[in-house]
Amino acid sequence: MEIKTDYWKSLDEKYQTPEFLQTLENEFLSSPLKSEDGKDGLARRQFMKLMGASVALTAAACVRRPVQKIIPYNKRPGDLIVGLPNYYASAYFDGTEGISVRIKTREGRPLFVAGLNDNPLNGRGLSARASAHLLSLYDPDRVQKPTINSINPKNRKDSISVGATWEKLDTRVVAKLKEGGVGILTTSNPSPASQELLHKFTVAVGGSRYTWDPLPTDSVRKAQQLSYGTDLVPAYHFDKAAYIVSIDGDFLGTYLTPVKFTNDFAKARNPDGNMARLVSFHSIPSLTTLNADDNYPIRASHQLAVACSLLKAVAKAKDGSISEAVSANALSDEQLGLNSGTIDYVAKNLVSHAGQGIVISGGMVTESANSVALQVVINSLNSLLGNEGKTITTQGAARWRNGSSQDLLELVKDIESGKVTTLIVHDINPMYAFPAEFKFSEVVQKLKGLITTTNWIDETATLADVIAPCGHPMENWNEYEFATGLKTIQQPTIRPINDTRSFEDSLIAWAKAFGKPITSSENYHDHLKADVVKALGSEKNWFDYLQSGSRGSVSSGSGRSFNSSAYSALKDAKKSGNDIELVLYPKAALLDGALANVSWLQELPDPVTKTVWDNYLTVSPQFAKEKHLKMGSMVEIEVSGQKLNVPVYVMPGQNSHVVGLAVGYGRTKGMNLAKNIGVNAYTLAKVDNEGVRYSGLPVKVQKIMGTYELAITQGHNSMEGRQIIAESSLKNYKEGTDPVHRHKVFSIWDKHKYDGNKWGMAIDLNTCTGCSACMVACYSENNIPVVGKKYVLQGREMHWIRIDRYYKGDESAPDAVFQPVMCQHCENAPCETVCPVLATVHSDEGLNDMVYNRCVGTRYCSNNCPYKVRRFNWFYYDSHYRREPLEMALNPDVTVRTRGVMEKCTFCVQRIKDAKSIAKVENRPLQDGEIKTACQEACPTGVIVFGDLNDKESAVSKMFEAQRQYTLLEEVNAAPRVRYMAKIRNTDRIMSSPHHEDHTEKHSNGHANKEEHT
Amino acid sequence: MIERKPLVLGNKTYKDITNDICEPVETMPGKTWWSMFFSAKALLLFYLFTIGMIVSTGMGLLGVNHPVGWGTMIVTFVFWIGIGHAGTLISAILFLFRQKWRTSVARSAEAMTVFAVMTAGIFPLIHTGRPWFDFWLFPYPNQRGPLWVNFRSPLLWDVFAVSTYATVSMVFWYVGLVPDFATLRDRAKSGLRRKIYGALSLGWRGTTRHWSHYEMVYMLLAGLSTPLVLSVHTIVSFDFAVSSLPGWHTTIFPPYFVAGAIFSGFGMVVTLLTLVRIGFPKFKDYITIDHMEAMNKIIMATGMMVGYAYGSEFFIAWYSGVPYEKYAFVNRAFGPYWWSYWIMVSCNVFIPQIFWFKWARRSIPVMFIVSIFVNIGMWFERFVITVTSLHRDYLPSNWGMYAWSRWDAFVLIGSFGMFLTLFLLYLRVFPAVSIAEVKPVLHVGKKGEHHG
Repeated sequence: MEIKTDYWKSLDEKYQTPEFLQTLENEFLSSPLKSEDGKDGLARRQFMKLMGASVALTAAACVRRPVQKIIPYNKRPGDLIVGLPNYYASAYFDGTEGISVRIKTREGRPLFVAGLNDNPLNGRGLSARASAHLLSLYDPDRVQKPTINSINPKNRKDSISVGATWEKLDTRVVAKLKEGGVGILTTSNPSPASQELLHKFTVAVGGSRYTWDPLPTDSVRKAQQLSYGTDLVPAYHFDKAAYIVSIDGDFLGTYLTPVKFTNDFAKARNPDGNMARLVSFHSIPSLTTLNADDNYPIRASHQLAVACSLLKAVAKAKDGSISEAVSANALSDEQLGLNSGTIDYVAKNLVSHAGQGIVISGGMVTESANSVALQVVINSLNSLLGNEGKTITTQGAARWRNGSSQDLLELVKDIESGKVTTLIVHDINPMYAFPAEFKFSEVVQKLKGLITTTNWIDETATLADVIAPCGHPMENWNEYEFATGLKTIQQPTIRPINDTRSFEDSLIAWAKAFGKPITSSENYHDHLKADVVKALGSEKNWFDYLQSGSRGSVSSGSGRSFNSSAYSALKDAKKSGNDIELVLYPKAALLDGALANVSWLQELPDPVTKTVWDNYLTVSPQFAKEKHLKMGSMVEIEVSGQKLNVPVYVMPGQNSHVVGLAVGYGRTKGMNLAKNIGVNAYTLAKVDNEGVRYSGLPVKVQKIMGTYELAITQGHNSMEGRQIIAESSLKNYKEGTDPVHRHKVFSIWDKHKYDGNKWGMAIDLNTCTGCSACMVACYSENNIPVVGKKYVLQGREMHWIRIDRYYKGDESAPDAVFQPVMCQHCENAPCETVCPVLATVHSDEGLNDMVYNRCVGTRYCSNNCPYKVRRFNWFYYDSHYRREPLEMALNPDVTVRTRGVMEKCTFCVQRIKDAKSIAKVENRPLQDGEIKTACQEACPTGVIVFGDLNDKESAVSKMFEAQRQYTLLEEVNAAPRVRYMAKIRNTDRIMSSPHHEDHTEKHSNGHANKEEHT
Repeated sequence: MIERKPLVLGNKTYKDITNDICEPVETMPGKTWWSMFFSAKALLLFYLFTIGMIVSTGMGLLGVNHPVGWGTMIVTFVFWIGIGHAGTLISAILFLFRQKWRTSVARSAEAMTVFAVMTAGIFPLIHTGRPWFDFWLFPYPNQRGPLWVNFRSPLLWDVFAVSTYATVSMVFWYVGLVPDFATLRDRAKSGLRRKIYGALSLGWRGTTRHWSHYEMVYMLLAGLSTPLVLSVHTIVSFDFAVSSLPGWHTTIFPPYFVAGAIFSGFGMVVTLLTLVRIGFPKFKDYITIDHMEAMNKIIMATGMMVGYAYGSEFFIAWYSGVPYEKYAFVNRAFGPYWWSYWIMVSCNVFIPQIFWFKWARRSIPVMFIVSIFVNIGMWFERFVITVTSLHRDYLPSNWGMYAWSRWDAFVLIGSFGMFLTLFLLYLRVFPAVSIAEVKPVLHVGKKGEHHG
């Protein structure tokens, strides 16, 4: 080899010595391209072989990195910008009330449910349930696909569920349908289109329908039929009322349409305008009781007597005659356990507010043997007072509530007689919600086929042949007519997460497969759309409808006159009650228990008892004393042979002959979260010829060994004479007395200056009913973890906003007040000065910012917070959401907090930033009211007002100037950014002056459990 | 002229002193020591396990909750910090006041200080929610802005106060040990031993120049430590006093805490020294009953100061007219935690009154029992301050109870494991009485000898 070079590096190179040439050949030692390659041609191949093998080995040894799809919008849908939310108008039906909602979605997943503003159905705001039903969409326990059970039809017991396809399932169902004897059991259905399909289906398969609601309204309708000849539930207009008497009618919590009622009620409670008075006669203290100006505990068996006595007194005052049947049922004040003169006093007020009053009663708590009679007397009262047609109208009445316990009796009869052999169950869980007396687990053995549309493998589903999961309301189309004439659309906001099919779609598919199609449309959406387009004229109107969420307006009604023949219902009225009466009642948050698997609702303190994760026997303090019971003492209750062991909750303001137990608890199957929480009170209901009875049940209460820990989030119910909730009577307020005891505070420091915005919040205690919708909304918006009963017992609940409930006065009939408390965003924030690492600091807009990343977790801020609104992550609480698909409920705009950091209300800073960005993009100043915090958006009564204090015209600035405004713990001079408006009580009783009272006030509830047990 | 009592008993010569004091360091320990050491070490290991569990699982293992954000860890932190005070007081303040009786107890008291501060120092670090970020509590240059600590926060002052105190008291203790280390070095028989003590004694040769420098440094350090005795617990008390919580927001806290700290510190010194006297009988000649009596007098005096503070707090709560404050104190004595308050008052105020009697002051069993009560009482004092103030503050809706769990008990007991392990090791590797300081006071109270 010869190399020609002009330049040389060494003499060796220059002279081309053999040694040099040798090194030259080996210069690239690592190279496989050696000079030998050319000689045998094998080295290169070997190299390739080795390379190939090593590549293969590398590939075999390592697992391919998992494919992680980022946002899969190669082509973006036109109406979606990644990172920006979309909003959809929709509706939610919670079993008693329909609510117009606005669902926020991000990248196609629903994230937050707010009340649709200024909607004609319920005004604004929503209920805790409507807010919380978001989480049930992502419930990991939901049935994933159509399921067929392997079950022995001769002996229906626990079964093995096997996933199937819809085709397979439909074949099974149709085979059953062909056998005949079809029965269809549903709840009252507020959707006309669905009703129609169901009707057609029933006709097509030659079956029979049964309708029943766990929250009954049948006696109301029956009495309306008797009194006025119309089968409906009338509309109540609390906004037009000046004097409201509730006889166990919990219209603010659980009866009929509480959100709408709350909304209307607040309108009638303006202390600077017209302020209605609310009087409550109640067996079980409810939200309505706790909001009443005057409240009178009565026995459940005296509901009718109170109504009759009132009617008698009203008639007397009006010089009218009174039916014999009515006066026969009336009782004196003493017999009713009231202070003498009470009935006359209330009656006098009713008369003086004739035409502006409402007497209301109803719901589960009144479903006794006398319930129809009670409703008749109530109707009579309203008619006599001229309220009928003014505050109570058929305009906007609900005609869809057609559930009846008669149907239930018939169903059982029909199954036993063999008339019904195949039962389709929709929206009901008979094995759970039927009274034990029906012995439905035996009745069900007679069935040849049981088909359920439930979303959980629940008590009924385990006995069913076929589970055809109907999916979540957010996945399905529907249209409702909650108030006659006014239609509301429910549009899906996500494709079904699981392989589910709406009930209507199932009906359409089954009918088609059965050979008798019930609609020409392919599916329910098309059917619905065709209907609406036909009614509205064009497809464009359909889209407008989707945007507005409702169409039509409530139909007009006509005045009705009371038919005195209705008094016949009083003929068989039972006059005497039992010594101790059990009343089953729905809780304001959980209601009938359909949403029992939603952790937000389970951990939401009951507005009345402030207890979470349980039901319990409520007893009066006097009863507790007599029976030597304390909070959490275990008792055995027995209702005609049915026994249950329950803990005791000592409830102030409850009649001492009444004990109460909430329904909706005691799930045994399917719902893993709700499983084994509390006891199933439905089983205790009694059945007679007329229907199912929930109220005034004869009960034996026996103390048994042991105590039980009730998780109570507020262990102390007295304000200890401190001015925490400033309160005054309407009379004093009108006279100009300041309802607040004010302090002079001063500071030697200059105040902070704010050039831009200065955020503030005002909260009107006068219209806060304590419904707790804000708490759930806050959960949803801010990714607040749920900790479970064990940790609530240890005082570790994470609520950023809480509703404090205090009692005042005698424990037998105390006044109650509610106060929402969240971070007060103090000007002189005590938390800020003590944090050693500056993890909580003041923003230039006056917010008290919490920097999670910087927080070390000394908890000094919480100790120094006079309001104790800070919450600490004691463990990895966020793991609650770490179950697929539950994590999809997390709001991507809000950090999920890790263990060891403090968190608290931020005034929804992400919403502030959002609104500011939007205003900036649109190059305009921010409008007042544009920013709404989550709690504000949820509130049905507009209690919470948020805005810019630098804007003198903003709503919140004006409230800061109001006469009733005060700051909580003013004398501490933390200078909160939250102002409360003093509560005004419309009562004739003399109320104490707003000063620090001595600590002579009794602890109305002792030191409740949280204190005693932890 | 009042006759002075001898500070060293038993007609010792200088050689006896050296022999007596070096003996525990130079002989193999007996069964008693080993069994005590292994128990303490087992407890220490258990303590480490507990800390590991708490750090890895979460603060939620303890009973801290909402509203009681601070619990056992802070209570025990203040308890140990308080204990540390006696050492510095004896070695620094009594030194400056030329109290010669301090010489024989100073070493162990100082050792106790150092170990107590070490034990205490762990608590603020592990009581945070994210202990792995504790270094954020120190102002160090960083790339976050730089983001500094909040100099307004008492917790930060605490960081400085405790770390300064730990450093100074450790240096002070070490400087005092240097001549004794040299003695041990000189007496050492094995090479390794000589090397270790040689290194520790920093080349001490006992020349006049060395002594002169030594005494100057010792006095300067005593001067430096003296304000620390007052400042550390003052600043610890600021953790509470600077907050706005009724029951914490009190101007009496600094002196009250300092008095309490000295009280508890002497309590612990008496506990330990009675045990040392039992363990090393020869030490009875150096740590005499007169020494113990002097300390008991201090216990009684500071106990009454603390008692005065309890009373004064109640008076001010009433006199201030602040309903929250008033309630906080009524709640302390008669609320659900009444028992802790009365344990505190009994142990700290009533029981030490027995020291009015001379026989009690001079009785080892009596003083041992009283000192244990003082330790218990002072732990409860911090419990009362921390927990009963937090559990019921401004808004009754927040009221709750401390959710005491077994982990609370574990960390409290475990911390004694750490302290006792260190103290037992100290007794065997360091001279537990200062040889260099005892020798000059050998003549005190001896008849016929009249030295300065």
